Amino acid sequence: MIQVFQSTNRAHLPFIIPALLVMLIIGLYPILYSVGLSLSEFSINTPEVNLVGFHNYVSVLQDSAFWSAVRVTILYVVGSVISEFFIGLLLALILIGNIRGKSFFYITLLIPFATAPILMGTLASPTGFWDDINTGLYYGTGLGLFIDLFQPMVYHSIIILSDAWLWSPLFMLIFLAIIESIPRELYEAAEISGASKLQIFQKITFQAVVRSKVTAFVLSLRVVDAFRTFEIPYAWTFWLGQEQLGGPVDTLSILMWKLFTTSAYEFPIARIATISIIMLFITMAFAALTLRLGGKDFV
Amino acid sequence: MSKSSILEPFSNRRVRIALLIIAAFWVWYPITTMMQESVGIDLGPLYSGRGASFVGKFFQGSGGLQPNYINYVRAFSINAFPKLVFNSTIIAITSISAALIVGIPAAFSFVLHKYPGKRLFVYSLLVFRTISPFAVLVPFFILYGRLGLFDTYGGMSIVYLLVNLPAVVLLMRGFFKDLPKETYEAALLSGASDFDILRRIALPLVIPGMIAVVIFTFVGTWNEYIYALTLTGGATKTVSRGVWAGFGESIEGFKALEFDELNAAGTLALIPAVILIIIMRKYLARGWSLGTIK
Repeated sequence: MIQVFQSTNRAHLPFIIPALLVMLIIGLYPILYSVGLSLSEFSINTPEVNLVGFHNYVSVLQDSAFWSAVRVTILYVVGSVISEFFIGLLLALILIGNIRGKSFFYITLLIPFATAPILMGTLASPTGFWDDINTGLYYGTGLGLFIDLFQPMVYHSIIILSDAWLWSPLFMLIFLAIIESIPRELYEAAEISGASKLQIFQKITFQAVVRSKVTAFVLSLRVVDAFRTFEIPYAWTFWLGQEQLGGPVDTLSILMWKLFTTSAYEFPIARIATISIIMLFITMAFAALTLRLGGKDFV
Repeated sequence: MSKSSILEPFSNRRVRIALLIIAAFWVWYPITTMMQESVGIDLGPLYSGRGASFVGKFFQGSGGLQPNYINYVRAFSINAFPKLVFNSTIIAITSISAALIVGIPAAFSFVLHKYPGKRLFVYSLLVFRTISPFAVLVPFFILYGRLGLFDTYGGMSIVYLLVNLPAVVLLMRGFFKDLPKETYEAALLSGASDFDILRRIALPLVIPGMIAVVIFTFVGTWNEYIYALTLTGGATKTVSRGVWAGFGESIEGFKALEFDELNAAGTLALIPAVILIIIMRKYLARGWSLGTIK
């Protein structure tokens, strides 16, 4: 890191004040506004705002729809981050060293970085690429098989794997960087002492990947990101959520979206604000963890 | 045995090649299916020997193997795809320029100056980077209604400034940190002002990094959906919003959409993003790990 040169106390102010002002005006002000809304009774039709304290929080926390959204959100966060980690690791292991077609494969794995989550969500939803797969399974096998996309197990897995499709290449790149940085002497020593490939993987490669600070940092970053997931489950809400089609896929974001769009008469702004402030606290906790994991270099 | 092969965990080459093919298929399948369906090709008849059919609860397409480009023609005529590209580009350029102008001095100041509260500053940048859009969306929605910013280029640029500024500061800071300190020493001794050092010495050296940051934030803005879904209307609809605009329209209680048209527009929207990502491929891990991977 570069040494700090300046001794004057205020030299930094002209550099950081514009950024701080922008963040205060378009970041902090809306958040405080949300906090205010969450503490009040508010309707889009009436201008007056009544403070009601924590009434909204109590009513949200007593709402079963909220808890169902929390359950689904946790399922997605845990499921997608774990599958991204392991798919990413597998991709990295396949790609290490010399193999034919490596550069083609490398370019292939860049595509998810460019793909909009809403695009992946739609492609993996019932209108998407299942058409050919199901027709193939049904007629091609002659057994009348098909993937029933409306089974809860099936659609939850697909949603989680769609997220993994988008983000496992990120883990792959990070693991590649970590593995490349392991001292070669370690491997040579292990090889001389007669360790098998599997043992070398377990004792050296996997340990290095799991214990890396960068892995922890990126995992934490991905957890917060998965926590606010919206697009992929949203693409599915056109098919699911109706009772005849199976259970809800409400994440917290979609719960808020539904409140936002479907209640035209009693616009439940206070309720949306309340849920988003609860989410904000969780985001803040994870951001604090991420900052800690980032260590000295990150500040 | 070559040096790098020690690292390879697969002793069986065939297993590895099989896994490689599966992985390539895993990535390519959604994309190639989208492209294939965008030109109206449907593999169904290959298996079934007939046209339209139902499998499960689903109507299965009845296309054929003859490609047609009607969806692309529609994307440019009826669906006004160029207008969406124009909107996205204007909004992205405005918000990214503002983020660079405001963010680069702040990022440089992290390296050049010593002041209390840096940790809190980084923390708030992280929070704004990872915040659930709804925490700010409702106030934006209400305030934009009052201020007349709803569905305007200015309004959308402001929203995306909130998304892009933290990324610009966090990433540019990393690029400035990487510069060797000797770079500034001579200039400082000769009495150049801080702004001169940034403008004349530091900034020209981090231009490649800055281009990567611009591409990173551009692709992010291009693909962003929630703010576009909520705060744009007919005038400033962005690509990601416009491509999925017909989505969810209800026909006799059942939701349907022109999936083939959507595929064509989706392919068109994906191509520039892929090109940009390939250009910045060296910086990908760095961008998405907010600078922790070099």
